[in-house]
Amino acid sequence: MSQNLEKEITDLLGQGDQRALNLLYENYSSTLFGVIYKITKNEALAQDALQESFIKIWKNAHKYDRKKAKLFTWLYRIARNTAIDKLRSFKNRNGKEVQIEDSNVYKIATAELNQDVMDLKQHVATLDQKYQIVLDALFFEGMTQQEASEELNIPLGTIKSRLKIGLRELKKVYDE
Amino acid sequence: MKREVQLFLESDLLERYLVGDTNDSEIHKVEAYISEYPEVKAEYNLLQDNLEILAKSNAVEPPRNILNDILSELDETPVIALSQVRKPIPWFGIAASVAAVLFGALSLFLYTQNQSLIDENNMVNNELNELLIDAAHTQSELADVTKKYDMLNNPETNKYILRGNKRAKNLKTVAYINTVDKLSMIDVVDLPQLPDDQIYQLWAEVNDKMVNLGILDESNRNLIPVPYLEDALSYSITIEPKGGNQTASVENSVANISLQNNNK
Repeated sequence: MSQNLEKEITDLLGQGDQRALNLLYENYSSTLFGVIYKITKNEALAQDALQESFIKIWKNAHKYDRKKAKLFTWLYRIARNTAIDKLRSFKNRNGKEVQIEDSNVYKIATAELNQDVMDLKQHVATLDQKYQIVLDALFFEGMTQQEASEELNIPLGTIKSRLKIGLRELKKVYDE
Repeated sequence: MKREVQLFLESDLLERYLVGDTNDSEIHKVEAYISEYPEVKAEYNLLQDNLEILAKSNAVEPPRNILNDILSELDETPVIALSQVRKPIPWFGIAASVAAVLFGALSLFLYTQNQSLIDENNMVNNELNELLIDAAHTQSELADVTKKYDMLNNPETNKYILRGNKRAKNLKTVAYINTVDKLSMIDVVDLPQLPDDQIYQLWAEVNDKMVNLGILDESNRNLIPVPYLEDALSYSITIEPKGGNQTASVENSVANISLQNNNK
């Protein structure tokens, strides 16, 4: 995301200007919905969580500090935590794990994504599966490195190295 | 690179900070490292960039209505006030309301009246009971008076007047005796005052013995019945010590009368 757009949005947010919300939604909603959907694996929950995330973003705009994090990082933290809370609450209410095939996650609405995102998807898909698994576990499954190590049955040192290599490769893919 | 920076980067603290999975003390520590060590800051920025790339690669278009839902929820416009245009109240509604008010008023009136009548009824019942008691009492008194009247007017009743002697000049007592009905009564007309330790006592002479007929006092001013003695020859009144005496003190006799007609 260009720094100019990010500055414009954060300035509008600081002024309580609702145009900021439109710009945020226009530029970040699909990315945040992807994050949320990957965590919840449930479309209705994901929609609720996305709506709640934007409400929180708007109401907590005054807490955003651009010196501490990029705008997306701040948005991501809110969306991720909201999704995790929603999923936990849903599981508590239903007393069971959500049983949804992971493959469903990618079936919805891909046709509506813009070409940049589609290209990026294709590039990321070229990333070695072993890196993708670790990145997914750490960024979308809400796991710590230790938890990912136990869950994926991979030594902690390997998790750390795959994370760093995976991120480096990702950057390369993006910069191509 | 300093050893402590290297150890910091090898830990997962920076990654957890990136995703917002750190507690307050960890946040403080990470922000201190970012602020102090350019290599940590560079790593953090790289992580932020890569996170955005990775997230974008997983982008999913949300339904279009969500933005509207968000804006609606944030819209602080107060809830639309209820329409000020009031529907005319139908005639049967007015009629029902009037009927309800009238019914309520009538119910209250009847309830008040009922309570008043209950109170009045209780009062009348009480008065009636008192009157019945009075009537019974009066009836009893009337029967008593009638009985006395009948006796006094009975041709078979003899009247004897006992007058006091010189020791009780003003003493006057009338005795009525009916030998047919075997009734006797006495009427104390006047009794001279005695010292506190003395009383007047009535006696009847029967077979040479003086039989006690009771003590006379001011309360005997009304006509009172006394025991009828078939063979009484005379009535005597004596002055006796207070409380009465078992035998007559003849020397203290103040009145005496012979019942001549009693011995038939």
